[in-house]
Order: sequence, then C-alpha cells, then structure tokens
Amino acid sequence: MKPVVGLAFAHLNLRRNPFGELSAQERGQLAIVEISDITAFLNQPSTNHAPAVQIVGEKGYGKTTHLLALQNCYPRCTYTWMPEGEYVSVNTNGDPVFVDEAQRLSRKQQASLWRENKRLVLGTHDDFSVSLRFAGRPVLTIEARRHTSPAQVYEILNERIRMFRRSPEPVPEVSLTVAEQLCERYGSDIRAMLGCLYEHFQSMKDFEDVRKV
Amino acid sequence: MSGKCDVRIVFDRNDRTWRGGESVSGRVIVTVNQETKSNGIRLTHTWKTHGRGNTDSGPKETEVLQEAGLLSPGQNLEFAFSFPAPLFPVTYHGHLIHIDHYVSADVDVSWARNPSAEEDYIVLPGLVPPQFTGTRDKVVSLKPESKEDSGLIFKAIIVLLLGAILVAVAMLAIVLLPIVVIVTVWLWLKSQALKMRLGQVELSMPLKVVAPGESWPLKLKFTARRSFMINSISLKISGIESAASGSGTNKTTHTHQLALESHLIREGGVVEAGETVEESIQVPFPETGAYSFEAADNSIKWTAEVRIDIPRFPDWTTSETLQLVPTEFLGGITSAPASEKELHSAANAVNTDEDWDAPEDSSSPNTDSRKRSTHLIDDQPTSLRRPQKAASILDLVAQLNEVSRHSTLRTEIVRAAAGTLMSVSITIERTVTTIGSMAGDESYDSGKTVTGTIDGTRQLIQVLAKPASNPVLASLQSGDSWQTNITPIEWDTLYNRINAKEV
Repeated sequence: MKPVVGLAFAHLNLRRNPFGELSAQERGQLAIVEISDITAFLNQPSTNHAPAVQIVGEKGYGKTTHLLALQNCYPRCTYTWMPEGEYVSVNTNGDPVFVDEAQRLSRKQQASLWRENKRLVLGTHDDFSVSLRFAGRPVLTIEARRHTSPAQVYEILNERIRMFRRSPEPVPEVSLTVAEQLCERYGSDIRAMLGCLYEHFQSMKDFEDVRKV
Repeated sequence: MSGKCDVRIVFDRNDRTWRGGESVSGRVIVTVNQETKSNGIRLTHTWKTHGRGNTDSGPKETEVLQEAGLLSPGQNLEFAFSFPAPLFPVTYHGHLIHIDHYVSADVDVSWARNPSAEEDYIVLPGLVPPQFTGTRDKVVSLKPESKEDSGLIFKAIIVLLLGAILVAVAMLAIVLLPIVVIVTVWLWLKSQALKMRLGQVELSMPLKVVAPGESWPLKLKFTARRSFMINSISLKISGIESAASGSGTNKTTHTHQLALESHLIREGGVVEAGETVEESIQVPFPETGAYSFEAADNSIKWTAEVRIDIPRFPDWTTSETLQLVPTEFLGGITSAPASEKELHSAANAVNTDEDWDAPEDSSSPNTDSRKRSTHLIDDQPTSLRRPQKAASILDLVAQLNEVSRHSTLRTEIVRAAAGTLMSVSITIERTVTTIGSMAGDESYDSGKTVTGTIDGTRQLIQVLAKPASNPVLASLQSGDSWQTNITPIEWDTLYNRINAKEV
C-alpha cells in the first residue's frame, strides 16, 4: 500500500466506497423500501388498540433498513435496539415505538409493551402476530425480503452509489445483469451483496460500470 | 438551486492537501434561495473513518461563522476559514479502512433539515504530535487525552464497578478452576521444557517505534542446555487492518493482511549443548502509508513475531506490537533505548564483545554510550545545513564527527555520500554470513558481512562483502586489517555506524 496521494475514490467520482458500512443516519437517508402500505396501516384512524407492524426476516435481509426508512416519517418516534444478553428498557415516550431485534424482549417486556396504547413497529426474527392479536392489536406483518427482486436490488445498489457522488459527472453503475447475478448468488441477503460489491469497488482502478462480479 | 440555501465549501489549495500543523484555509459560500431564519452558520472539522467497519471519528471542532439572523433571498454570503491541520491521524486509504479529514458547514434552521455541505481534504505527515516524546523502545499512545476531569464521583463509580467485576470474575474462576489449572500447568510445562533446551532466550527489539522503509534491527541470543535440532529461526513482520461492523451478536470483524514478510534469522541444523546461538538481523520495514492506528472499531496493527521452530517439540515464539509512524514523527523521540536498565539488559543479553555497545561516539571517546537515553535527536532543520558530498572515507568520518551524534544530519551526510567509491581499511571485529542484504542486491546474499572500525578513526562500519571476497575474509581474523573499496549505503542510527557495500 503506497502512501496516499489523492482524494478517496475520486477516480470513480465518488467520495468513498459506497458499499462500506454506513452510519444510522446515512442508512435512513438511503433506505429505498416501499413503506406506503406500512404508513397507511400505522396512520389508520385510531381504534381501541393501536396498530402494530412487525418486519420479519433473517439477519441482513433489510429489517433495520425498513425501520430506518419509517423512522424518517415519524419525527416523534422513539427507537430502541435490543442487545443480546442484556436487559434494556424500551423507550416508550414517543409514538410510534420502534423496537429493533424485538425477539430479544423478555416475555414480561412483551406483555407490558403490547399493552401500551402506542403504535408499535418491531424488527424481529420471530413472528409475534399471535400474541399481538391476543392483546387486541391490529397487526401487519411485512417480510423484510420483499425488496430483493433483481429490479429492486438494482435500484438499491445504484442509489447507494449515487449518494456518494463527488461531482455532477457520471458515477459507475451496477448493471441489471449484475443485480440478477447477485440475487442468484446471495438470495435475499443484501448484506452479502454489499460485501461483494465493496471488494469490487476497492479493486476498481479506472472508471467503469460494473458489468460482472 | 435546492432548498432554502445552497452551501458550498471551496479550499484555497486545488489539491486540498496540507501537512499536519499547516493552516487549512478556504471559503464557505452560502447562497440564500428563500427567506430563512438562521440560528447561526457553523463550520465543523473532524476526521472520520469509512470502509468496511463502523465509523470512528475524532473530536469535532466547531466555529461559528455567523450568529443567528434573517437570511434574505438572493443573498450571497462568503466566509473565509482557516484552522491548523490536525497532526494525527493522517489521511489513509487502505482496503478495509479509510481515514479522511472533513470540513463541513451548515446553516442551523429550526424545524427543518439544515442546509449543509461537507468536503474532504488530505492531511499528510507534518509537525510531530506532542505525544511523541520519549524513546523508540516504547509504543507511543496517540489517543486524545480526556478534556475534562471526570471528578471524584465518576472515579468512585469506576472503582466500584471494577470491584464488582473482580468479584464476579473471582466467582467464575472458582467454577472454572480445573480448566484454569490444566491450562496453567500446560503452559508452565511448555515453558520449562523449552527452558531445558534453550535456556534463557534473550531477545532485543530496540525499535518499537519504526518508520516505513527503515532498517529494523533485532538480536537474539541463547545458550543451549542440550543438543537439539532446529528447523529454523525466523522473523515475521505482519501488518493487519481490522474493522468491525455492526454491534452485539451482529458484530462482524473483518481483517485484511497489509503485509506479511518472513525473514530467516538462522537456517535449520543441530545446536550443540553449551553452544551460544547469537544472531542479529536488520530488515527493511515495508514501505507503506498504513501507519499504526487504534480506534473503537478500526485498527491498523503491526507485529513482529520471532519463532524458534523445533521439530516434534513446542516452538519458542514471542510477538511484539510495533508502532509504525511517519518518518517525520521520529524527530520528536530519541532513537536509543530509553532506560539504563534496558540498555544494560540489551548489552548483556546480546553481546559480550561490546558489539551492542559499540556505538561509542568517535568524536567524544569518553562518552558513555548508556547516556544515549538522555539525548534528544537534534531537531535543527536539515534543510538549513545540507551536507556536502564526502569524497573519501576519512572526509566522511570527519563530517560525521562535526555534528551531534544523535543528529538526523548524520543520516543525510551518509546518504549524500551514497554511490561514491571509497577506499577503506577496516580493523575487523567480526565476520558473519550475510542474511537479508540491506543493499537490496541479491548478489551479496551469499557473501559475508564485516563489522569493524575504520583504521585511523574510532568510527564503526559494517560492510556487505561480495561473495568473491569470501576466501580472503576466511583467512582474516578479528583484529586483522582488511582493505577494500566500498560505497556507503546508509547511517545506522541504532549502532552509530556506517553501513556500506563492497564494490
């Protein structure tokens, strides 16, 4: 590795490798997911019980991306991320109440949270629809992987590249064929796709579109 | 045109490159599109990492460019800014980790996203960070110091927490006691078994702080207690980028090998009981801009591992963390071992024929070399005293004697003489087979390395001899005189000697 001589990724007209780790704020800005059905469900006229939305999916499938996209629509919401093996109390001061990694809530926490008359948005590996309905809440279950068709992946990847554009000049584009290849190789695991493209962009010495990975 | 205001940052230098300590300057241009009630226009600068790991960042330095006020459409505001470029970390673009410096400007607007702009700029090594004092035998902490005194209450909480952790660990230790005992006994048996063969292995790595491309020395000595075979004694220098993404159970640590260089210190063979194995090696450190870096989720680490590979027996290994820093930073620290104890142990550990202590200054023969620790490198700008090219070896020695023994000028003097053919007569101290030639020329690899004193002076010299001189050198002993033609390569700051090659 030679000492630095230029601005990062200037040869690709980018400010950085677009497929590196993003801050929560950047992820929120980039969250390209269809959420109108979720917001319509959450904004339904109030009933006796506030609605609950659960985004269900495995690691890397886009649960947190959904939550961050939704967070942008609700400035008064509160967001709690549940760590593994640690007790953390859920912040219920806002509305809606967002809980990421909700499968880590204790039964007592679940019962108490389900009873709160606040709209709930859960990111979870487990399906809570039965217990939520039992608590009287209307429930909308969203599969996190619903945005992993090649066309949507193509859009997500290129939007990410455009976000780090350095000047109005063109930036490299990931082709639809590459998006299809990635979907075939990694299924719905967006995180794995990003890892693959990170390596590809690190190795790009000259400006070119991404036609194969 | 977008939003209430457009914000732009323009640097005064087109290449956006500054050295640490220089004044980063430019302008913030705010074009107002709609009437805006501003709570102030601010300039912030900081460093941040980007890449495969979570973002680490430095402290944010904020300056108010304009106080709160009403901004009218059509207004074009321009604010000049200037601040000293940070000294550390310097800009780095690696594989998993990138470190960049940013200037951002924003207009603080209530109840709306602040119009803002952010631009990156490059920081190259410049002034020496204030932490860089002391000696090169200790890693220098570059973590920023806490700005605020945390107070007694905070300290008391920390003490209580530590106490609680200690109790928990002690309780856990009782449960895990059998495993702990087994592991401890195994480690003790292993160390005893190695000690039975190798005796006390004395290893000296005097430069824990090292610069890219620098010649890095290592010495190893042990006296075998029994006869045994070794496969090899080797040195491995390794640089690793490590970046962690996610958190909790979703945390993933990615690593990337920046460099992995193996050097053979001694080839395999039988070591006889009572034989003293004494090896020294100087290896060129990799040329790289991947300076050591340590943050919460991103790090660049350099290590040196020495291994005595013994067949069908546990290997003797030891690993040390090294700190790779820009060459410019070495101006702030002394090159010699810090403490008298360290120097004493190094001298005792490595050599009894004063080879280690040999860098006695020829210009001041009574100087005790152990006093080196108290000297600081001469920080006089070398550009003001550019050395003349020496025409002969005595001329070169005279030039060296004119400057302080710890002066960086000595490096420049020898560098200036590099390539000049010089006739020299050397009183031989010792001759060893060349391993890993510093001349960067493989034709010296099967030759000898001669260490001695230049006749008529007290100046030490080490010469890489050509294989063709092997028969002559084989007939010479310690104390004999050897005449040859050489060209200087470099000044060895550790041993205070000239490194040269035979031509």
